[in-house]
Amino acid sequence: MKAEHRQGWLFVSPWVIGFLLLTAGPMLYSLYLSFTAASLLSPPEWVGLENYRRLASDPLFYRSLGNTAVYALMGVPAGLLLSLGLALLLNAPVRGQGFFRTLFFLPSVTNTVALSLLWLWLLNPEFGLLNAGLRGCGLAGPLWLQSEAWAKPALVLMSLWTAGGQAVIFLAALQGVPRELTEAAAIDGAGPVRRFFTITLPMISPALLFNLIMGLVGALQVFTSAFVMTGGVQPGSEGGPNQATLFIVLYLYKKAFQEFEMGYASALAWVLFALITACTALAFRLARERVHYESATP
Amino acid sequence: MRPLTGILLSLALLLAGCRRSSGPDRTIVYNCAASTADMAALRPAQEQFFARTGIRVKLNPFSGEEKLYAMIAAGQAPDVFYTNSAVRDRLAAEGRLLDLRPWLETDPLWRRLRPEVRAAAASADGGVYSLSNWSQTCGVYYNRALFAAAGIPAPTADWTWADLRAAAKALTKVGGPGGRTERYGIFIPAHFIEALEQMNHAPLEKDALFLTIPPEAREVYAEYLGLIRAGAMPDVRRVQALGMQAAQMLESGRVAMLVEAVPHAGLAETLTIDWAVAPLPRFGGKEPRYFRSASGGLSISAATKNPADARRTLTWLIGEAAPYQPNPVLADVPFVAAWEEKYPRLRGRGFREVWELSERHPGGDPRYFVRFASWAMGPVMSRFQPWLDRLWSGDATLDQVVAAVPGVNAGVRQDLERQLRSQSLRPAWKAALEHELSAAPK
Repeated sequence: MKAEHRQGWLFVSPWVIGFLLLTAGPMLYSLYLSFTAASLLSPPEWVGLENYRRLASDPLFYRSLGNTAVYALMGVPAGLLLSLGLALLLNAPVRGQGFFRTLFFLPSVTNTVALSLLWLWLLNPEFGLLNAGLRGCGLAGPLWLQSEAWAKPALVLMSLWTAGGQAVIFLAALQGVPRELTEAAAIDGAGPVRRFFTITLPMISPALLFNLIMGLVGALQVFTSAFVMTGGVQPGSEGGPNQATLFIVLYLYKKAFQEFEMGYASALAWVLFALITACTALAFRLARERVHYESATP
Repeated sequence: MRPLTGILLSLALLLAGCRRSSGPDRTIVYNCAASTADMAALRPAQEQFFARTGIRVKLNPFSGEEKLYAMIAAGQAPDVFYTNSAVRDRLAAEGRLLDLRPWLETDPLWRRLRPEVRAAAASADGGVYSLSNWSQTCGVYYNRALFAAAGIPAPTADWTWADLRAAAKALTKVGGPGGRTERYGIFIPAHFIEALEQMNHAPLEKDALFLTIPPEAREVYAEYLGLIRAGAMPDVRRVQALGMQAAQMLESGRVAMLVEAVPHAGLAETLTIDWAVAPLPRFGGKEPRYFRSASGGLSISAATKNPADARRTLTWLIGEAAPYQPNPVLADVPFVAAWEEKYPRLRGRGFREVWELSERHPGGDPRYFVRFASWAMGPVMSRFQPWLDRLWSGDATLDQVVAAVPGVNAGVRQDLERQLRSQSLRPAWKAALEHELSAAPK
């Protein structure tokens, strides 16, 4: 090995060691656990594929899978649209631009538990600000988190509060769009909408793909807000009314730490990992022809 | 002296100073599930206990059951910690809790405990793995001024469900904007339905493995829903939301009556309205069976390095530590008088009557998470709770919920049979579970 390589490995070794010990090691151990009947409190017993077979016939697994899919289908596009819209507004040359950028970015660095507690109040069916506003408009507000139909949209609504994080990435991409392209299009008679769809959107497509994948991964792993807001106090009430917000990670947590079924929870974790990998791969595949990388152009 | 010798000597002295004391470590870690104020109140008592016994109690703030289980799994369990009934037996069956029975047989603490506390402590294998550190009943807190203004006589020990229903309807006030209800007659949190089931003499088996909804329980559910449908009680889903504490509803005048725990220091100290508390209403001519709970309690980790000090700490926490006294789990303490002395605002508000009635007609603790066996609670509730949610939302009728019971129990049986296959269950527990499962009708 060349001295340069050795030095390189030496410099990255703190991260590599940390990754092996704290990420890769536990991941492999959880893979092993997924083939055992490990309880949180007792040593694992090898059961082969039993946990995976059980998953296939577990109605709550399918319920959590469906809930997660619906949440992702609602939350990811809504988040992308909102953050792109915000980025377009923040890109406009207006006074106090820095202030607005900070304002919209702030919620995304706020602790999710704190945000969830705030939204618990906002969404309170009796005294929440949202329903008070709706009542002011002569509308009867829904039960939000207490309603099977509205619990997921309520969590999606809350997730949009942190769209500022994605908006910053879009903003950076928007600022990288060469002005001469849009100006040339404008001279050729293209209106703002046409310029957006034919120039801006293709130019920021790598950022769009990045935000899509990160949003998808985040949505499939949704946990904190569901746990804090619909975790339930009574045994069995985890996951909101009629288990409407029992997402995969919440179900996994319940199995591992409340029912002590660490082996089964590990199997759930690996199924989720496979699902996220498949979704990401699909997104890359679909994006292959649609994402424009400037460096790839001749 | 040469400098090197001086340095070596200093190092030796330093090391000698740092050497651990040769005596045993008498620190007991107590996982304290209490508010910051309660923990602050415990500290002076803790110092007195140390001065008296030489045992240093280290308070470890309770930060979630899941963290506690992870600590137990990692072999870092606190010496003394709180366990609820739902997990106590599972922890015991995995050998994580110390059996207190051999020690209790000769300890005066056991004789000091109230009968229901001793009964609640016994586990399926005959062991005692936790001792309740608190006991409570429940009652109907009501706004006396509203009762007087409406000309409704104050509830007595003989009042019935029909009286409660009539009062709730009479005290409900509609007239807000858009026909909104300004005041509801009553609010009964859903987790107190089980206490009403017991008042209606529903046969509730202790340590049950399977769900049953006997006709008496069904009647109670129907009455409960009836109050909501009549507009005398708010939709249970609206007020189960966090952020709206039931006590605030009573304080703000949004409800005229509220079913809550007795004693309840928080309510006694914060309510500024003219309030009193009444016993739960009777169902027709049936003898009352009041809610008496001694669920949950303090356990000692099987991994404790100093069981004798851990046991002494447990005795102190239940029977001596000032902030927890007077403790209603102790039979030899004049609880009502001492509690009224601690909270003078309770005098003349019905607390004494409610407590004494519950002692004369104790019905035990009928709550789901108590009456189901540790093994079955999770499997039952994860299947039954969604049905209750559908019932509250009107998506299912009571008949449909009752019809769903066999399906719920079939799933529970599957889960229990899987638990039985675990090789980590201690034999006595395995045998007990096997026996109960084989005795239960399929």
